[in-house]
Amino acid sequence: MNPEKNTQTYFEKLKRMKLRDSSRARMESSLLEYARFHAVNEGVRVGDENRSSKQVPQRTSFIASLFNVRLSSMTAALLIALMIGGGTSYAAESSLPGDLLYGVKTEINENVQSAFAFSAKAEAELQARLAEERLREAEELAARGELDAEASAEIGTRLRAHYESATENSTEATADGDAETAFKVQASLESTFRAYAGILGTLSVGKEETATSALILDMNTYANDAKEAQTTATLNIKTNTSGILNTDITIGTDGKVDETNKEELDSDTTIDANTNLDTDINTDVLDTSIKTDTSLEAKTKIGL
Amino acid sequence: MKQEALEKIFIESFTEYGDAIFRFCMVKVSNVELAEDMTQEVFTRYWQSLRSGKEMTNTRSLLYTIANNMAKDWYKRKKATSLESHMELGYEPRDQESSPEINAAYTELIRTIDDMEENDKEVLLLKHVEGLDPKDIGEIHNESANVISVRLNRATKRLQEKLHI
Repeated sequence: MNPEKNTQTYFEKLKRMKLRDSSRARMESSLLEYARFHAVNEGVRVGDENRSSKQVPQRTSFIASLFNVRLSSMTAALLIALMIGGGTSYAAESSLPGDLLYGVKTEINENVQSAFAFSAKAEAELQARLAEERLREAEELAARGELDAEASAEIGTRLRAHYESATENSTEATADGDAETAFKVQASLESTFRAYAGILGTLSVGKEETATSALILDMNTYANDAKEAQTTATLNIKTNTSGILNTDITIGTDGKVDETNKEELDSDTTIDANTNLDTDINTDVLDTSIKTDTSLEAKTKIGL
Repeated sequence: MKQEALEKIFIESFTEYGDAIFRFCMVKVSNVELAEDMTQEVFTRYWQSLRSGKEMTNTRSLLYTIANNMAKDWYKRKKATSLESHMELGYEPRDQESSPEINAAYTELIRTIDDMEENDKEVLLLKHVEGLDPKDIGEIHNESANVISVRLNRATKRLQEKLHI
């Protein structure tokens, strides 16, 4: 065979070297996802790598923006109630299922915290924390010998809701380009569930508590689900080429709440980086400081 | 330009040039999975260019340039770590879709020219497979068409020698 023919054949073969159909399809959908996530600048995009303060909407009223964006009027009312209210919500923090104030803890305090979760990631982390809180309540009750069927059922229901919400929100974060949150949240949940399943198991030894067993069963189920979810999340992290969602948002405000007109608030809002929500809202009646690292804690102090 | 229109251009570019960039990367790294990863990375950077509003006069040229630069970075990293042994042992197939036969066939094809010089391999690919002329090739590498032509001749001869065996 002459050398020319050889090379020609070679090049023909080389020409046929292509992306495999499955790879091509996968890449195309990943690329499209990437393009949508890093969309053309039309205002605020949370995942925008070139984000500068110019692209962030200028909010002049922090509380007003809360009212507009996240809070239903019901929750807004509750927030106000929290501010004016008094010691109730503070005392509620340590309550357990069956206590009078438990409703305040779960329906008011925790909902307020959720209102401050500005991203899927924050909400996922919050829900994971709340799940853990439920488990702590269960442990406390079990230690006192008070974990009866009713309390178990209530905790079980809430636990399921928190876990589902945490999963849902971390899936959303993954879709937005952040696959690591899902992994972290599920990993933390898995270890928490297993730990408490163990603790409850120990505490209920010798006791005929079918309610507790049901709860422990749930925990183990969730732990296994969480384990599986981590595998999925790991795959997502590996194949995700769009990078990590930059959920770093710091909102610092100096706000004053005028008692008579809650809507009016003077604040300087700056957005830079790191998931910290720091607000100091001084009122005549009470000091409310809400601080958070990756999760949220609401502490209300009352000065009388 | 609006997001939708840009997306359309983006996907069209991938459809048209995806394979060519893949081949280019294959010549560079001699490994299917790695070449696929690189290809994807090339197009994500391309998206960033599109989105920044830069004027797209020559998409093909831009894509090759991105790929070329990316390969340079990759080579720097390769020297830093003993990747060669890692590569020889076999890059782990990411998932089941990895067909061993195709991988083997493509890798074999690339192996033929593996020990040729970087630039020579590339120039052969771009001319004889992708159909670029020396001027276009020169643009990608910031070299004159003449230099490319000379290289082309030399490389073709070398290839003939190899294939003659």
